[in-house]
Amino acid sequence: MTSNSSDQLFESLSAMVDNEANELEVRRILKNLDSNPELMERWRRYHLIGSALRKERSVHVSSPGKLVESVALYIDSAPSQARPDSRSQQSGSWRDLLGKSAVAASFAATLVLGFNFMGGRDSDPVLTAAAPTPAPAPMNSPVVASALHTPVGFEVPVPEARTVSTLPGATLSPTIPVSVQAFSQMDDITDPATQQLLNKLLIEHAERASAHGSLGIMPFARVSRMNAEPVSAR
Amino acid sequence: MCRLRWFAKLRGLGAQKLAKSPGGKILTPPFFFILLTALSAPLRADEAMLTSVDALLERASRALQESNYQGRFTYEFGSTLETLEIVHIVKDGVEYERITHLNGPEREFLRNGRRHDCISAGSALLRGSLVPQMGGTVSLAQNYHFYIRGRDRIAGRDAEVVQVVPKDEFRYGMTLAVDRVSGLPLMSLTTVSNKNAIERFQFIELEVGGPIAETELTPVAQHHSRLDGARVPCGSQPASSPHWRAAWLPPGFVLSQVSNDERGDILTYTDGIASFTIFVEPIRNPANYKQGVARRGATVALMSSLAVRGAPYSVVLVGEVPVTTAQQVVSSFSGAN
Repeated sequence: MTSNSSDQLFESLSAMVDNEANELEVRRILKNLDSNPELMERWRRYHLIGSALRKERSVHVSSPGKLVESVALYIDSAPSQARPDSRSQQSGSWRDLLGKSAVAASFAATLVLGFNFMGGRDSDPVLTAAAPTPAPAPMNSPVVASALHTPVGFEVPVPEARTVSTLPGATLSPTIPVSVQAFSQMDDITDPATQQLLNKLLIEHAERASAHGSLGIMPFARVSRMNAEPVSAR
Repeated sequence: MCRLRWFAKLRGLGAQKLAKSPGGKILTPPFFFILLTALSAPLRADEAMLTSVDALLERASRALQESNYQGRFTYEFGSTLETLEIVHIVKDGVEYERITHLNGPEREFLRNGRRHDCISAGSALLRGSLVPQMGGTVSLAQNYHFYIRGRDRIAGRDAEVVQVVPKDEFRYGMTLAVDRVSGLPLMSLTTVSNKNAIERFQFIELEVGGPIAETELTPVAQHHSRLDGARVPCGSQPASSPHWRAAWLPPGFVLSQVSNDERGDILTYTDGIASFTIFVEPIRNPANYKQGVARRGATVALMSSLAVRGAPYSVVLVGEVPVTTAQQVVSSFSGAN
């Protein structure tokens, strides 16, 4: 490997940490990790710096392989819920159509890929341009959400995650900029039990948020379509 | 009605100044009049802006708690559109409200019991007060810029549009449209980087004032949640927790409510505009424990864990803040000693 391409890789890594790398760059970095220990070492350093800046508890990067395994497992498990169920297509009941049409949106599992270590921007799905002028802007469906809704209505992890999982022979390396701050693994949260729990918590939060500023009634509108059991007054 | 209060405030201000002025003797009625007129003259542009947005927000906060209103509104994020109905009645000083989702599975909330003059820490912040926190004070203006953006027409009503811009990256922004007649918020966008909106609330129809039949409060859905409004702590002093401590909070956030149930502790933080709630409970069944980040519109749910004296606890943060904020708060959240 020439020093030129090495420098390019380091630049791409830098860009990736700043959430500015494109898909091609990410793929290239992953491909070169095994053959470029300097690359691996730099990632490790960037991550630790970011960690320290945010005064996070120390993360044990000593077993990065394990971490990425669970990340990869998670990624692999997610698509199976997004693929259209051929059985339901054949049965054609209106209920199945309802499920697939991404109408019942619940909690999205974001794999926090691409988050800036240094505490930068979110990658938020775009709803519409915020109107600094009074005229409201037209609604646009965000690409991420609409393309990847699961039957339960989840927004599946951001596209970068799916790209990584399908890379042929991709070495599962810790250069995926997962924010590992509190997690030793990222669990699949798309199961109904977790979704129901999250919705319950959202209702609790909505109740409190609507009483403390947040301009009143709006928080209750955020409650998802999961069948939450009635909340008794506590 | 807003203008009267505005002038009353100004007059009150003027009166204060007059009382303190050393040359009290010369303040004969004509002088008083001239002084008052001078005070009523346009303030410096930014002061005027802040004061009128102050008034707008305070009025919105009051109107939501003190008026009778009913209407329908939409909530959108991504490709999701929800439609809801709201009825809010104040009777003998107590608020009664019903919020019903009109589409999708039945979801309905009935909340009674809060006194219409109950001002929680968050409401106090929204109304421009200084709220004590950790040896200092916080206020809305410390953390947001405000801009009046002009007028719009929403739900057939004339609205004033305000843009609320965060001063740091720890919170979202907001664009708010307020009914010029009633003061009620008619539309709200939650925005990221002042460019993109990640959720929108907007009224389609609204009736304000006048008597509303109590039958309107009757639940529509078979399954509905009854919430006790009297549970909300009134009084602008923020809460405190004996067991938990958030060593880092985005500037301006205060702990506004602490409660617990058979599961664990629940702590809510707000800066007056945004809020998040932290749920802490012991991990009883490790097999059920999950960690990760989930998102829904502007709401983030971050599930993590914490060890206190060797015992594992699950910590879940739910709120309308950027994920990085949630991560930072949770990572510095710990047991108090």
